[in-house]
Amino acid sequence: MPAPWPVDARPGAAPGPPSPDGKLSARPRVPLRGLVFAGLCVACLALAVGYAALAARRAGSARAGGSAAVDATALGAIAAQPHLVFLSTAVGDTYGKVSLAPLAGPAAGRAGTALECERVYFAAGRGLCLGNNTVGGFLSTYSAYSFDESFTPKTTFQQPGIPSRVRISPDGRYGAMTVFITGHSYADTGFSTATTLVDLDAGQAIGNLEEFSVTRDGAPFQAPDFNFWGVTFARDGSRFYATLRTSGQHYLVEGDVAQRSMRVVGENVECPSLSPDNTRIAFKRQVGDATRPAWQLYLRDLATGQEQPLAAESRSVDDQVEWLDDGHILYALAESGPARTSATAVWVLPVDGSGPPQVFLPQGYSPAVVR
Amino acid sequence: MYPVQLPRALLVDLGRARWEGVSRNVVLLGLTSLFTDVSSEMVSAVLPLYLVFYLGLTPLQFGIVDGLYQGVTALVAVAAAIWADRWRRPKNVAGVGYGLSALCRVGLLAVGSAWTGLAATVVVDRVGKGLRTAPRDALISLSSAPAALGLAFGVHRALDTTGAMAGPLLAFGLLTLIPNAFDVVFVASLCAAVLGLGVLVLFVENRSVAAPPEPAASATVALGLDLLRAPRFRVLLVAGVGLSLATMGDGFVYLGLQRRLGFNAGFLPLLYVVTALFYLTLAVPAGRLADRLGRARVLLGGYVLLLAVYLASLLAPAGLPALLGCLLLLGAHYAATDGVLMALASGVVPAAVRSSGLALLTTGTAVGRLVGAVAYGSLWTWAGLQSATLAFGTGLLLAIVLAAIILARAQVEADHACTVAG
Repeated sequence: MPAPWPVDARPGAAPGPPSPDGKLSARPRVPLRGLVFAGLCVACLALAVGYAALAARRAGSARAGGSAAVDATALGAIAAQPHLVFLSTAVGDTYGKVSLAPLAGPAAGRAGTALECERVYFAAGRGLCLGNNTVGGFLSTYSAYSFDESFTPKTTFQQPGIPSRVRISPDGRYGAMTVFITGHSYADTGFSTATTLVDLDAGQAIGNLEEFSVTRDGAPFQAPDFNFWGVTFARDGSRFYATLRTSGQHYLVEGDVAQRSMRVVGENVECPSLSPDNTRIAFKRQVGDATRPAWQLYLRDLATGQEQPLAAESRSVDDQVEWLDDGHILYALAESGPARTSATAVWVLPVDGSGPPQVFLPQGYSPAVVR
Repeated sequence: MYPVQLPRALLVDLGRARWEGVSRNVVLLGLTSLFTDVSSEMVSAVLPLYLVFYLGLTPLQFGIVDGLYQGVTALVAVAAAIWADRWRRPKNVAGVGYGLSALCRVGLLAVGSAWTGLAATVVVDRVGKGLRTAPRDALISLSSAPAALGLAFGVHRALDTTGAMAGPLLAFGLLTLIPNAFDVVFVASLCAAVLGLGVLVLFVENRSVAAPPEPAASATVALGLDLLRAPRFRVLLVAGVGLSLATMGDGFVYLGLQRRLGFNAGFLPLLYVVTALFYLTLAVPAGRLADRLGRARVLLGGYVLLLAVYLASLLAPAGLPALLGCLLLLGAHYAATDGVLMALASGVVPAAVRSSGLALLTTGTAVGRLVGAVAYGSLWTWAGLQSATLAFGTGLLLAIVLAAIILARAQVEADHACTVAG
C-alpha cells in the first residue's frame, strides 16, 4: 500500500528500535522540511488573521447603523395599536434588536428599540429579555433583564445558561425563564434545563421550578433528574402550565405560583401555550425516532383532554407557540440555508385546519402579541 | 522494595523536571498532539453553543451529536490499530487520523446548519481520533527507552493537555473579540490542525519493528487476538477495565462537589480548566515517579487519589481551599493513571502488536468509564447522591485491592526487556 506522503527518506524503510539511551539515531537534517513547515506556519497565520479581520469588518457592517437613534415617533405609533413585540433578524438598523410591528400589516412597518437580547416576551406593559447578543465570549453572562413600556431596562436577573423560553403572566406580575445549563445530565444528553420564576412587581426571583412540590395521581412525585421548561401562564395570574421531563418521559404539569406546587395532568406534551380564552393548549410533540427528531404541533382541549395534530403544518416546529387570537397561532421557523444567511420568520396558522401556514412576519422570531 | 530511603533523592530528581532520556520523536508527537488538541478543543468548547444556540438544535439533537462524539472513537480504535500493526507504519495510520480531523474543520464551515451534515462531520472527526490514538501511543513507546516509558508518556500528556487547555481559551477569546464569529473559530481550528499534521508529516519519524521473516497476511491479527490469551496483558486489561468501571466521570465528580461545597453552577466549566492545569503540571513528575517506583504502584496510587476525591465530595467542608484540594487530587489522579497505564502496557505488549494492544486497553477502559458514568447516573437517580457515591467508593476500593493482587501475581512489570525485543 503506498503511503500518502514520503514516510522515510532512508532506504530500507523500517527503522530499527531506538538506541538504548532513547535518543533517535542520527538522521541527516533536511533544511527543506524546516522551510516547508515555516511556510505552513506563515500561511496558516495569514489565513487565520485575514479571515478574522474580514469577519470583524463584516460584524461591524452588520451592526452599522446599530447606533442610529431610535425612532421614538414610529415606536410610539406602533405601540399605540395592537402590535407584535419580537426580535428582528433584518440586516440594518434593527438587527438583533427588540422590535415592534403592527398586527395589521406586520410585514410593512417595523421599528426597533435599543434593547438587545436572545429571547423576549412582553405583556401588560412589562417585558422580559433573556440573554445578551454576544454568544460564547468571556463576557457573556446570559443575564436576563426586565423592561417597561418605554423600553427602559429595569431589573437584572442572574440567569446562567443559554436562553430558551420566556413568558410573562397576562397581568404582568410574574415572569418565567427557561435556560439550558451544561453539565447537568447523564450520558444521553449533555444538557439540562433550569426554569426560574420571577416576581416582576417586587423585582426579584421567586425560585427554580425544581424547588416546587409535584404530585402525580395524588401522590408525591420526585426524582433528581427533573427538568422543567416552557411555562405558560393562565389569565388568573397565579396558575400556569409547563413541561416536566424525567426518565425520558415528558409530562404536562399544572402549577400554582402562590402555592409553589404542581401536579401532572397529561403526558407527552412539550412547550405548552394557553389560548387567550384559556380553554386550549397548543404544544409540540416529538414524532419520528430519536435519530431524526422532529416536532409536530398539537392542540389539546383542557376540558376534555382531547388532542389533535395541527396537520396543516407538516414541518418540524421547535418553538413555544404564541397565540395571535383564539383562532390562530404564531411560531418561528428557521428557513433552511447556510448558517450565516439563515433567517427565521414568524408564521401564522389557523388552528381549525382551515388553511395552510403563512408567513406573518419575515426576518423575526420570539413573537409576543400585545393588544 | 525500597520504600524508605528513596524519597529525598527522588524528590530532588523529580523537581528538576529534566527531559533527559525523552526522544525527539516523543516531543514532536507531543507537539503534534498539542496543535491538534488546540484545534479539536476549540471546536468542542464552542460546539454546544454553536449547535444549540446559534443553529437552534434541540437538546435531544445535541444529545445525539454528543453521543456520536463519544461513541465512534472506541469503535474505530481497535480496527485502526490492527491496521497500523499490519502495515507496520503507525505514523501513517496516525497521519490519516490527524488528516481526517483537519478535513472536518473544512466540513464544519461547509455544511452550515444542516444538522445531519454536522453529525456526519462530527463522526468523521471522531473516526480520525479513533484512528490516531493507539498508533500514536505505540509510536511513543517504540521511540522510547523501556526504562523511561513513564516519563515519555508523561511528557506527551503534558503537551497534549496544554493544547487542550489553550484551545477553549483561544476559542472564547475569539468569540469575545468578534461576537458570533463561529466561522472564525473553525478557520483558526483548521489552521491549528494543519500545523499539527505538518509537525507529524514533516518531522516525526516512523517507528516499527523489523519485518518478520515471513509476513503472513493474518499474522498480526492472530497475534493481536493472542494478546487476549497472554496472561500478563489479560491481567492488565481486567485490572484497567475494572478500575474504570468504578470511575464515575468528571461531570459527576464536579456536580457532586458543587452540591457539597455549594458554588455557582456557572463555574463548572472552570473546574475542567483547573483540573487540566494540575494534570499537565504533574504529568511529567508522575511519569518519572512511575519509572522509579514502579508503574503499577503509581497507577494504583492514582486510583487511591480518586477514592480520596470521592470521600471529599461526601465530607469536605465548603470553601475554596477544599475545592482546590479536590481538583488537585483529581488532576494528580489523571497524571498518575492515563499515561502511566499506557507505559505499563507498553512493557507488556510485544512491539509487533503494540498499536493493537494499546487500542484494546484504551477502548476497554473507555467503555468501562462510559458504563461507570451511566451506572452512577442511574444510581444517583434512584438511590440519591450519597448512596451512589458510597457505592462507587466501595466498588473502587474493591477494584484497587483486586487489581493490586492480580497485578502483583502476574508480575506485569517484572522486566522491561520485552519492550524492544518484542
